[in-house]
Parts: sequence; C-alpha cells; structure tokens
Amino acid sequence: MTLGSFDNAPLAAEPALPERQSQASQIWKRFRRHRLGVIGLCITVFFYAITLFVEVLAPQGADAYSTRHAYYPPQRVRLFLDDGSFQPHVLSYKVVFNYETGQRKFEPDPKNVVELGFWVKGDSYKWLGLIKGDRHLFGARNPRQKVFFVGADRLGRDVLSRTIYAARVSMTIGLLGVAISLVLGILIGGVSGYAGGTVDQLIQRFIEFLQSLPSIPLWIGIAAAIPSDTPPLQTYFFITVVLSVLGWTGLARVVRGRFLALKAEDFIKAARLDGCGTFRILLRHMLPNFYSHTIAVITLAIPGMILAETALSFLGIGLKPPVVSWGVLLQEVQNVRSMATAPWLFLPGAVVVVAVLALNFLGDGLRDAADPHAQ
Amino acid sequence: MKETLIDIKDLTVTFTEDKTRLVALDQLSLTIPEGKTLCLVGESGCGKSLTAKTILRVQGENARIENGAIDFRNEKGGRTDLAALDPKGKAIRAIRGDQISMIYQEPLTALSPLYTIGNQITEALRWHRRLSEKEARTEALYMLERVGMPAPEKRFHSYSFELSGGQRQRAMIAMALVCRPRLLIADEPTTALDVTTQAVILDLLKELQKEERMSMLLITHDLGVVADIGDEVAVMYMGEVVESGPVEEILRNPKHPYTRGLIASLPTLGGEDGQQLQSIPGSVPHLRNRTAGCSFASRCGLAVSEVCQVNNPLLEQIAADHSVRCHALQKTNWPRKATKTEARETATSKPDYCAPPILKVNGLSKHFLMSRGFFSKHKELRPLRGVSFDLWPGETLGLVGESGCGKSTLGQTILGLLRPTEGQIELQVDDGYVNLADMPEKQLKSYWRDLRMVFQDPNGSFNPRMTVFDIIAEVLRTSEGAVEKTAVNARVGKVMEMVGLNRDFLDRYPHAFSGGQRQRIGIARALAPMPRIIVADEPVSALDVSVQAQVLNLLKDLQGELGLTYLFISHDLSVVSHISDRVAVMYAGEIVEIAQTRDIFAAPKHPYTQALLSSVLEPVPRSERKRQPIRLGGAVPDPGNLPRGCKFRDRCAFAQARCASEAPTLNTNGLERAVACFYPLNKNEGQNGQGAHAWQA
Repeated sequence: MTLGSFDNAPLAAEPALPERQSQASQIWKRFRRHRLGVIGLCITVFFYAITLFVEVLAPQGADAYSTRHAYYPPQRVRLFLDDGSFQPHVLSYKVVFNYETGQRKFEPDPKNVVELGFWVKGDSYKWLGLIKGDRHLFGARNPRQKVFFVGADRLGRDVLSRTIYAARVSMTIGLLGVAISLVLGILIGGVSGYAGGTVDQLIQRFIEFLQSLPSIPLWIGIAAAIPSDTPPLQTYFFITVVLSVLGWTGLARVVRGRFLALKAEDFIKAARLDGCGTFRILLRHMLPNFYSHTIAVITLAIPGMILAETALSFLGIGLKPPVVSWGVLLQEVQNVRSMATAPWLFLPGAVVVVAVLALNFLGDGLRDAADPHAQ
Repeated sequence: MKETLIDIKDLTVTFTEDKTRLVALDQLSLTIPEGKTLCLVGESGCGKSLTAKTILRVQGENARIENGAIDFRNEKGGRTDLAALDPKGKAIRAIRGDQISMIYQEPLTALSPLYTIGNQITEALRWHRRLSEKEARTEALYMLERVGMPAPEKRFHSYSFELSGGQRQRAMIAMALVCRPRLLIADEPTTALDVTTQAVILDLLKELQKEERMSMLLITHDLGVVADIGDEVAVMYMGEVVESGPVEEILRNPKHPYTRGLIASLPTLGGEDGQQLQSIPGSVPHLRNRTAGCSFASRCGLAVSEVCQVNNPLLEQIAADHSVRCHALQKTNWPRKATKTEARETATSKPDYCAPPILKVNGLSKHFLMSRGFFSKHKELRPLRGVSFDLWPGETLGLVGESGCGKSTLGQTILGLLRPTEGQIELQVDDGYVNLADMPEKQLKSYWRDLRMVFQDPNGSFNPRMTVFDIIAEVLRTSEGAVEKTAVNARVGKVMEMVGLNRDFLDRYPHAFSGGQRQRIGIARALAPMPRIIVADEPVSALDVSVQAQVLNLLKDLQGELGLTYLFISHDLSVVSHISDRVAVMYAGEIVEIAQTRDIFAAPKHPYTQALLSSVLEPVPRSERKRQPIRLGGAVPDPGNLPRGCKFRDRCAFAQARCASEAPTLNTNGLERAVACFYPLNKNEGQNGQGAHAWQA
C-alpha cells in the first residue's frame, strides 16, 4: 500500500524560537489597546502626582484667608497688557454696590493689574511636612497680591488651592482604605477559598450578613463613636478603618472566587505532584496568578472609598475642618444661596467626578487586560 | 453531470492584526456538488471553519472578503453570489437557517440553556416558514423523531443541559434540518463525542442526507470520519486547497505530501507494534509567516527551495476529478532526493514480564459524596469500583473506555491526587512493596518522584507565571534530598534535550510554545525526577494528528531509552493500540476486559469491547472495511445510580436473565486475559457481529 510510504519526512524538527514575552508585558500590550483605560491611567497618575506636590502647586496656602475677598469670582488670565507687551496677568475686581437692588457686584478694574509669574514667592509652607519653602509653581509676582483662578469661598480662601490640598487627603484615604480592605479580604477570602467546606460556608454567610447591613447608618454609627476632640490625623485613620470595615467583603468574595477557580486548575495538581506543600502552592503557584486580577479589583475599589469619604464628610460625620478634603470643601455648598452666588464652589465636586471616572476606566482596562480569555 | 450547489471561486479572506494584513483564505476554489458530502480536512488553523462561516457570511467583523465569489444555486436554478450580499441584510438571512444551516462541534454551547429544545427547533420554522405555533410543533416533533431522539414529546420540553451528549447533538441536527436545508454545514460534528456515539451520529447524518437529498459540507480533522461519510474530499492547508478528489481515490492514492503525511501519521488499529509513526515535522505556521512560495514547503520532505519557496504551485488536475497543488508532482524531472531518512533506529524495549510487577493495584475504589446544597442529603457517586491490575516494568498498559467510565479517576487515584476509599496500590521498591493507598500525604510525597503524570491539556497544566525552567525544576526543588543548584540546571537541560527541545527555550513562558511543544514540556516535567512509572492522561487528544504522531513517537523512544512504564489513558483506540503492550477496557468504574493488545484487537471477548472496536473509523475506503459496525445505544450509567447486575446489560445485545441479577466478577491481576462477562464472545463471532452469535451455556 502506498499509504505508509511517506518517507521523506525529517523527524521532529521544531519551528523557530518562540517569542520571549512575560505575562506582564502581554497584559501591558492588551491594556494599551483599551483607549479609555489609558486615558484613565494618565488622569490617575496626574492626580496622584498632584498629591505629592500640593504645597508647590497650590498658588496659596490651604488656610490663607482674606475676608476682603469673600466670594471673590474667578479671575480670567489675560496675556497682554494695555501697552501691548506680553505679561500674563489678571485684573482685580472692584466691588460695585447697587443701591437699588442691594446687590454687590464684582467688576474687573483695569487699573489694578496683578502680574503673574512662575516660581514666585508666596505663602510659606513645609513640603510634606519636611522641607521649608515659600516658592509656588505659579501665582502673583507680588507676594502681597492675591490671585483667584477659580474664585474664593466665604472666608476669601482660594478654591483652587484648597481643592489641590484636598486631593492629598481624598485620594490617599482611598488607597489606605483599600490597603486595609485588601489585607482583610485576601486573608479571609483566601482561607475561605482554600479551606472550603464548613469554614467557607461560615465566612460566606458572615460576609452576606455584613453586606446586608445598610452602610450609611452603620458608618454614621461608627463615626459618631469617634470623640469630637480627636486630632485631625487620627480622625483620618479612624475614617479609613470605618470605610474598610465594609470594604473588605467585596474583595474577600473576589479572592475566594479566584482561589476556587485556581484550585481546580491542572497546574495546581501538577504542583502537588511536584511535592509542593500547602504554603508553597499558595505563595508560589497561586498568588502570582492573582496579582493582575487583584490590581484591577483594587483600582475599582478606590473610587468607592473616595465617594464614601466625600459623602461622610459632606454629611459632617467624616473629616472635619481644619482638615481639607473634597467632602469637607463641598460642605460649603450645602445651601442654595452659595449655589446661586458662588457656583465655583462646586469645583471639588467636579474633580471628584473626574477622579472616580478615571479610576473606574483604569480598573476596567486592567481587568480586561488581565483576563487571559479576552482577546 | 452532477449539479453544483455551491461554487466558490478565488475566495480571498483577510484579517487585520496589528495593522498587518493576514491572508486567511488564499484564492480558495471549491465546489459542493448537489446531494453529496464534501469533506474539508486539515489541521487546526488551516481555514476550514472560516470557509464554512464565510459561506454563511458569519465570518466575523475582522474578516474581510477581498476577492472572489460564492455562487449559490437556489431552488429555482438561479444563482446568488453570497459573497456580495450584505451580511446583515434580508437576502442572506432568508438563506441562513433555511437553505443553508449549520451544526457545531460543541452542542452544549451552541444550544441556548434558556430555551427548551422545542422552542429552539420551532424558531426557524416560525421565522422562515411563518408556521403557526401548532404546525411548527408538529413539524419539530416529527423532526425529533427522525433524528432518533428517544421520547421526543418529553424531550421537546427539555433544556439542553438535561440531555446527554449524543442527544444534544441529535437536537442540534433536528434544529438544523427542520427547514429542510439544501446544504448542511457540519463543523466537527462528532469531535466532542465518544467513538460509540460518533458512529451513531454519523450513521444518522448519512441516512438523513440520503433521504432529504441535501448536500453536506463536513469539516473534520479526522480522516476516519471522512472515509466513513464523505463522497468528495478537499484537503486544506493554510487557506488553500492542496488536494481534492473523490474520497476513495484520495485515500487510496494520496498524492500531495501533506495528504500523505496526514494519512501516515494516523496510528492504525492493531498496527504492528514497535513501529514508528510517520509524522509531518513542525506544525502549521502562523499566517504572518506566509511566503510567496508553496505554503507547505517549510514542512515538506520533497521541497526544493529554489522552486517551492519561490512559486506557489497551481491546483492542477492529474486525473479525472483528482487535483493536486504541488510542484513535485507536476514536473516529471523532479530531483529525487536521498529518500528514506532511514527507518529510525528505535531502542524498542520489550516489557520484562519475568520480573515482579512494578505496581500492583488491588480492589481500588473511590466514592464521592456529592453535596446537593446546604440542607439536602448527600448523594454517593462511585466512579471507581474495585479495580485491580498489575503493571510490569517497561510495559505500556492502555486504559480505554467512553467518557465517564472512570479512567481519569483511576489515574488520579493511583497518583494520590484523589485518596482511594478502598483497596491497595502497591509500588515495588528495593525491599518488596509499599502500599500507597493508606499512606499519609507527607510520606507519599517521596514516592511521587517514582510516579509521575502527563496531563491532557498542555495549556492548563502549566503555571502561566513561571518560566519553562521553573516549571520543570519545581519537582527537583521541592522533593526531599534537595538537589543542588548546578545539578538542577544540568538535569533540567538534559530532560529538555531528551524531549527534543532546545535548551535556549528554558527562559520562555509556556504560552510562547505551540501545542506540541507544550506537550513535550509536560513530558520533560514528568521526566525530571527520573521516574519509573508515568501516568499519561489523554496526552495526545488535544493535538493535531501530525503533532500527535510526533508525541507518540517521543513517548515510545523515551520508553526504550529509559525503560519507563506507562499507564496510558485514552479514549482513542487507535492510539492505544499503537502504543500499548496490554489494554484494559473500563466500563462504569470497572475493568471489563484486559488482555494483550494483539489479542484484544484481533478478537474482543466482551461485547462492550467489541462494540467500541467496531465504532472506530479507520481511514480506509468504505469498500475495504473489515469490521461490521455495531451500534451502541444509550450511555454510560450515572455513577450515582448504577443498575443491578452487569452494568453493561442495558446496552448489551446479548444480555440474558442472569446478567440482570448477578454481576460478573473477574480477577484482572496477572498477565492472563480476563473478561467480565458471563457469555464472552468467541473469535468468529467477534468478527461477524451479533448475527452469528451462539450462546455459550
């Protein structure tokens, strides 16, 4: 028969060298295709960069006030002086009182020019509480003049500066809260997934119980327990703990799910047959397969934390002045009057929206990229 | 003259990936004759499924038809060019599911779990034929009966997950045929099924095709299926037809080196032992690496680089109906290369049956308690019930059976991944035997260097975060008597070479390798601690035939060199018959027959073995078939609800009263042939099937 006479075949030649590409670089490659995710990443990195350099970036100090400038409206940056020479500047407002309606009106005063510049002297600060300085990235050239790019609040404090300062607290409270949740979540979820059986059942029912509690009243309850004379820094930590008490449950569920899925994989069986003990299987074989997924989950959990902090502080039970956070700043707009007369006070709210959306996009992008089944 | 139903001319379909244009179908021309079955064969990635999808215009958004026509002759004799239709338009939707319909490989995913079978079958009727609900129902029930669905009235209201694999495939066929299509496209319709079920489904397709006088386009990688059902065959490679013609002609007289390679790499049932399989080197290249020359040149033994790598040969007729695309066959003065890369010297080792067995398995059982929820009672599953056998050093014991018969459970229980409920697993060591069955896992670990496993899925069995080096070295690092670093390096490099891979690959991650290469890595991992026994659980069933042949050859070579003992688990009887010295047939958690490979394939004694064997489709023309087909109805019994008496009696053609009350027992230890049947078949009956069977008292 001719069937078997295929005798020219060279034996078992293998094709060219396979590509060297680590898992991380593959994820990065997939992530880059997710356009919204990349935008989210850029904005998120930008925000966290701001939190590092708030003192320098903010034109004024967080608590610098000037009653003269109460509800001062945003000032427009002009590039050329009247004589046509290039000099970025803003015009101060002069207050015109309308005696008929009884209203104050701010009108730009062409004679009162506030010249702007980079790396100018201004309010002195201690950068990250360590290095003394009085230089600001941009602001009024003359330290005795003030500039309000997006206006001032009822005490004449610069809204832009305060929003920048608030970013430090609000953005990091999310990180810290998620870190605590993550430790709890991985520990408890891991035990639940790895042990299985009764332990798993008990932990899962407990999580369900926690998740069924209405969150706002619970937070209010716990926050009320913080003595009102607690120093601001401690309040900050208390609040993160309060947020993580409920935050870990979601993470624990995700971790447990991953554990269960991984436990059934052939390569875990192979690791057992290689003689690995429980610990080695957990640390060397399971955890590395978790990283990408967990990072995505964390990214998606941070905005929740930011929103929760904002909500609590807005209601007056979270952080309190003199701490500046976006929620604290938003307390200023709790009444209709300020909304009508000084809409720029909403800036922190807009920033919260941008930050939360950016983190969500980033998390989505990471999740899709980390999923090995996605194309 | 046969009429053509579909005439594909110069069809070119491309993908865009990372801004490069990849040609998936390259000027493909095919004709599907009316009332006949055309088979598309080839390894995975050759564009078979894409061809089918393009005919239905569901090829996906990324695939672009650049050129060519798909001429479809409709009922009135007019012609429609399917390639020119709007893929979302009315015209193509009127054809899809009505004139042309399709069945898929995996019916569980192709059927919606949210609708009943009846609901899904009637949908096409109501949409295309505008039938009333009642008319559609009558029609659907008739169709279900036609496809041999047991109790169609009841099944009409079932959901897909309530049916067995074979029933699901029947339901899908009913769904595809209910509008009486003129073309049925079947994409690997039986690949996910057991051989016994496959045979039944293919019979059904043949019969329906004949009665309905429809055409069929059958996509398969299995030449046995082609031989069984095809009229015409087209062999595809990298989006081109390289050879086409009538099935009998192609099987008897294959010309193209690729076709010949495909046929030669198939292990044959009861083939001579010790023989190496011919294999096609390498694997299908990525579309990215397409060259101007013949696409097969890189793997072809006849290729002459000045010609084959420069020009792509044309498809030329070499006989009536037989066309080939190959330079070597079209030119008479083709240089004869030094043929015969000498039949490779293989160190075939004969198993040493005089020595004491290396592993003795005695009455091994595994029972599971299946929890059905928080408050309900547990259900006991018994996938393994008192299995016994001995394994001699240097031999290969093949373990076969349908899915769900307990083969994999047996493998995992022997290894200790599952702890046995009863029985002994005795491993031979220097001073006698140790029983692994009731050993605590800590102690068991030291024996895992002797007993290693090769997994089925070369994807899932590697940690994606570890390099190949770490994967292979893991066992050397964890086992006691920890090996030094330099020794680990040396050993890992050595096993890598043993399995035919380059040491330079060691710092790669597993996903960078092809399926065949991955399976080699899996074997290297098993070899790392110098084991004596390897349990291979379906090691080649996820691979293409040519790659499968490479891996089987490798396993045989390694056995010869290292004197390994294999427990080889597979559902594929041809593969088992090729590699095994002895074969054990499992059914419902028991061994029903065990014997030397030659004996069992020449004359099966258990009716189940006989039925299994007769269901195997060999790539020989239908007129040369040796075996009478026996078709098994039903399915393997649920391990949670086993019948009394002989577990096979419900499906057995020879069952007697005694079989219902009493279960046959047998001693499968030792080398003797053993059959768990009260009325074993004798040789002549085994050949002629049930008709001539005379009962033994």
